[in-house]
Amino acid sequence: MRKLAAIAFAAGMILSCSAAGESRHPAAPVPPPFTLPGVDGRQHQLQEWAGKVVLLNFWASWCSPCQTEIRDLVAWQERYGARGLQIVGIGMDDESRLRNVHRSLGINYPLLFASKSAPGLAEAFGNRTGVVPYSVLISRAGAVVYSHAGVITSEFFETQVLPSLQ
Amino acid sequence: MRNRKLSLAGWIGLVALIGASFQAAAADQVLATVAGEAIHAHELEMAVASSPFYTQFNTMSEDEQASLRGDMLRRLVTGRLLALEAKRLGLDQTAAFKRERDDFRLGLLYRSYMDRLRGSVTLPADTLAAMQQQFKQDGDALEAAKASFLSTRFREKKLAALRQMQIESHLEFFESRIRPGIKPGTVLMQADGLRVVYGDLVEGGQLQKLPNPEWVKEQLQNRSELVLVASYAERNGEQVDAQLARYVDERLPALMLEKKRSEWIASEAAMREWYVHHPEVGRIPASYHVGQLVLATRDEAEAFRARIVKGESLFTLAGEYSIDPAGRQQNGDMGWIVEGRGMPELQQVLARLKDEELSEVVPTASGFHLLMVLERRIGRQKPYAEVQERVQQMMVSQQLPGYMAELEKRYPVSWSLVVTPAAAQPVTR
Repeated sequence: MRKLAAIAFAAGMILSCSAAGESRHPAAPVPPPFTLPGVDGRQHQLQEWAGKVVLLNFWASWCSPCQTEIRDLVAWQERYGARGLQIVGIGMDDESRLRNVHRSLGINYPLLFASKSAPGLAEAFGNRTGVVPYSVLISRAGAVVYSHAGVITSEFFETQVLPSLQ
Repeated sequence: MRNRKLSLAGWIGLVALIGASFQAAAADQVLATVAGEAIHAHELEMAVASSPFYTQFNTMSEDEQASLRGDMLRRLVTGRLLALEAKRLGLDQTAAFKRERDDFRLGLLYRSYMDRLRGSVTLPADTLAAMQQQFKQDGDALEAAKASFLSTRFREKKLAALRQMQIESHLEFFESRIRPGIKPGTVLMQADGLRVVYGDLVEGGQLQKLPNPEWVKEQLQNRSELVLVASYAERNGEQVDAQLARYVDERLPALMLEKKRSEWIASEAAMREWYVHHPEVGRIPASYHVGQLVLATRDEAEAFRARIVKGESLFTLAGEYSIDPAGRQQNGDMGWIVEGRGMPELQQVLARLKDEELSEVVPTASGFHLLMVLERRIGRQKPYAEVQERVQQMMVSQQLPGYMAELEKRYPVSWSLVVTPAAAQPVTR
């Protein structure tokens, strides 16, 4: 219904339009707790990054758009990490393949593995269709403020993520 | 790092030797030269990045990536050799290729212009603010609304630009000339410095019968838009030479290979004849879903055979008594065994057994086997029509190494590979 409303909204402004996309399920405002193994061999919890703006990025090694998006995420982490941005990748499939992508793309933020230890985590964060990439923005106060199915564009990052760093 | 000079013929062996250690190099590193022209590391990385398996490439281990890089570099060198030969033979000067290249250039210019136009479409701040207000926490809905708005604005802007171009260039269509008797040179669109003739729309205008006039009109509209926008893009200084050069570099090896293919494969009869002498190319082997119990002595095997004949299950017994650990773990279910693979003694028995018939005791070096075929897939020989493409590939691949060696004599190849110490062993040839 929200998508239909969006289309109707745009149509109202430009007389004629069309749009297609997937349905969206807003995430819970309070992020569900998790403990996941990381590429560094340690266990990680969301609380580790309390006080930062956390962008949880759910992805899979076989997903080409995910790999495209990761290149941007690496650049944003490099550029905005000092201002409190903490991107956290959550890999949803085979660990060895995820580790290889981590090395190949030079991922510079924590990568956690959820395929075995928390297969339902993405759904708990509002991703009921299982689509990847899927990202959730968590404010410095620890609340889920935004979720997004699909690749995060530069424009989306600038309009939705950057303002949270203020 | 060591520099090595090798012939192309030796390269395949070299790839096998160092394949696991050919890592990514610095972007400006020269990896090979063909007739003095360098292939740099960044070109190889670009080839890898633009390949259809790039997503999978990033999921591979370092050894697998190194091996694939070696293979891609070999392909780049092969492509350069074929392109050089194509140029020497003038394949880039034929009328057909020139037309193809010119059409590709028009397409590049058109796309370049439209990309610029699309980039100039913006979302007004007040519209964006209203959308954000409407879809506060719903990112997907907001993105859909923005995309829809921008897409519509782009279409409007494109139509306005096309109308303006048509007026400025005094464009005129002559659709009434689309009728029987039309000639390849019949002008169907004319504008300042531009025109589209019937021969531009159908291959050389050589069709015996006039196609559906509506189809021709649609082609005319498309072609006219293409040449008109391309001319404006050119006038605006859009640069597509580098992309065009890359296109030519990629097309020439294919043209050269096509020429050689037609020389090597004189006729379809030759392909049929080749298949007669290489039936293995189209052979689908039989396969058997096998149950098996392996025992240490013949006496034990005979005793278990008697129990099975009396009604006990081979699979239950295999799960408990088989001396083959894998078989015991799988309760005797060995899965599908393909004809021609595995122990010949067992293969002979499998071929003779009826479905669900228990074999006699079969001695091998691994023990004494009792076999049962649960189900089977019959082997067959594919007819020529099903393997035609494969036959063509095989015939070409038989000729290719010799031909590439010939080309390498004409265009010397040298290799400068980044090799890790573990693989930096002397190459024996």
